[in-house]
Amino acid sequence: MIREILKKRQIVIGAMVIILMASAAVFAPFISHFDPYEQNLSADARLQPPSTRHIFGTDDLGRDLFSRMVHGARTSLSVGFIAVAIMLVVGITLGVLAGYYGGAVDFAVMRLVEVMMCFPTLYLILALLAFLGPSVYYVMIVIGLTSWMGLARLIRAEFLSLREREFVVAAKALGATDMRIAFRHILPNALAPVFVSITFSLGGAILIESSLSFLGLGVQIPVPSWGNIISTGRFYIESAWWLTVFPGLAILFSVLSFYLIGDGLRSVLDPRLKR
Amino acid sequence: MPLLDVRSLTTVFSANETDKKAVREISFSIEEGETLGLVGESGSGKTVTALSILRLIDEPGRIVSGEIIFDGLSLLDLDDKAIRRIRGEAISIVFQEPLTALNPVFTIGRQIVETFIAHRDATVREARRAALKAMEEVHLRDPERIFGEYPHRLSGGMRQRAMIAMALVLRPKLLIADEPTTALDVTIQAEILELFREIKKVSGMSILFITHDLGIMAALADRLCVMKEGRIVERGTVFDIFSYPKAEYTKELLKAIPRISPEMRKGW
Repeated sequence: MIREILKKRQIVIGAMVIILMASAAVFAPFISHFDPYEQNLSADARLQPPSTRHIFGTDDLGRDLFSRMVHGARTSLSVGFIAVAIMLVVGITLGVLAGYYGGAVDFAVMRLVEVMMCFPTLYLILALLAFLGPSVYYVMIVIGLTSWMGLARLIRAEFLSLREREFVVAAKALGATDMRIAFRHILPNALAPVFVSITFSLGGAILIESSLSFLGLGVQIPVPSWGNIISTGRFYIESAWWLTVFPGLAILFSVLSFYLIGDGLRSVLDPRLKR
Repeated sequence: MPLLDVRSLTTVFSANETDKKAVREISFSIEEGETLGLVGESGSGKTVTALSILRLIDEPGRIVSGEIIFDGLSLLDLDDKAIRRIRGEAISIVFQEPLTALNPVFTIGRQIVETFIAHRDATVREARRAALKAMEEVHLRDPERIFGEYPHRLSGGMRQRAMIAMALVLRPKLLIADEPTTALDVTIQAEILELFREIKKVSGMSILFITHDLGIMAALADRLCVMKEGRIVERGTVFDIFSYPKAEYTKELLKAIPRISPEMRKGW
């Protein structure tokens, strides 16, 4: 199956872009020639177009855009991954409990899911952040805590059919406890659609973080994030197009790559799910 | 005292306000070292009986009355932790279709090892050794390789042997075999039956063998119980039942066994 996954061009291209960006993020201090916070307010340093010296140009405070962007990649990508990690923990746990035990547990979890889904995610996040105060950590937690519902429903659905399978009875017949059966035996079988969901969620999380930073509620300047770079750059759209175009393209390509991977995975895994 | 004593067991399944009795007040016992055959057509309640003994009956079914005494213990009165200790360790069950009874995402070895560790305080190495030994006992050729294989890569016969190995690794006193050969083709069936015969002889384990095939019963069981619609309609030794069947139903079952007549054999 891994071979099939690697054969799909979408997945390979998507994965390569993500790996490229992630590497840039990890090695940011090494590949950026300039300090992302170093300002240079002289007229010949501010708002410079892309050149051999500044690959992406400079911003309104004379800071090198490329350096700011690779550091911003750190923020944007890590927020995405951590938010999704939180989402996984909450979503999988609740989905497993609801799907395995059914009855009252299922009822309670599903009602919680429905209540959470009533809130438009972005506005809920905005409200929470306005209340808590803007901070990268709050952003990660809040995105994670408001996006787990789809995953929980997915896991629960898989469990509803998997728990009738004979290997569950067999495991029970050999003395396994409920928790063990649910998490060690059934869950690995239920994960196929989860991988697809994760990639889409990663794309979504990056978009949300960028939106929040753009609005000023996420990562605070001067800490760079693709979103807040666009936010300061939008006043110069006509004159210094690079300030909005490059981070915009970065967001576009990262989210698109995640979607490509997810879509590719889905077509590889889907017919197999019917086996 | 018999190893297993089932008295007036009744298990019902509820649907739409009505209770359907799958098992109606059946009573039987198995002595140590004895193989009891439970014969009957599909739907007669054989599997439900087996599951009831290990209390594996879940909603919408439940055991409503009766007693199950195993080795002096009343199984129906045990708490969850105690019954889980019995399962796999004192009483094991082998299911009909090994492809569905084995977890598809774990290797054979991992599943056997996990069973072992769940019951005994053992290291992974000790469990692995026990698992390989069990696999040798069921005559799985090249147990090292099969240890790391996934269920779907093995043939039906090998999978069934793997399941039997898993059931035997903790040396249970009672082995329940629920139609273990029904899903296999006839030649493999014969091999698995031979394996059961060997297990019977070597370990002196008690076996509750469930099947709808009377021919298999004749080859393996000491005593038989014939079930129909949740009740036991006849019981006795294999010889008694085959030679002097009393119940009408038993006679029907015996008549239904296809036989190759002398005429048909002429061309052999």
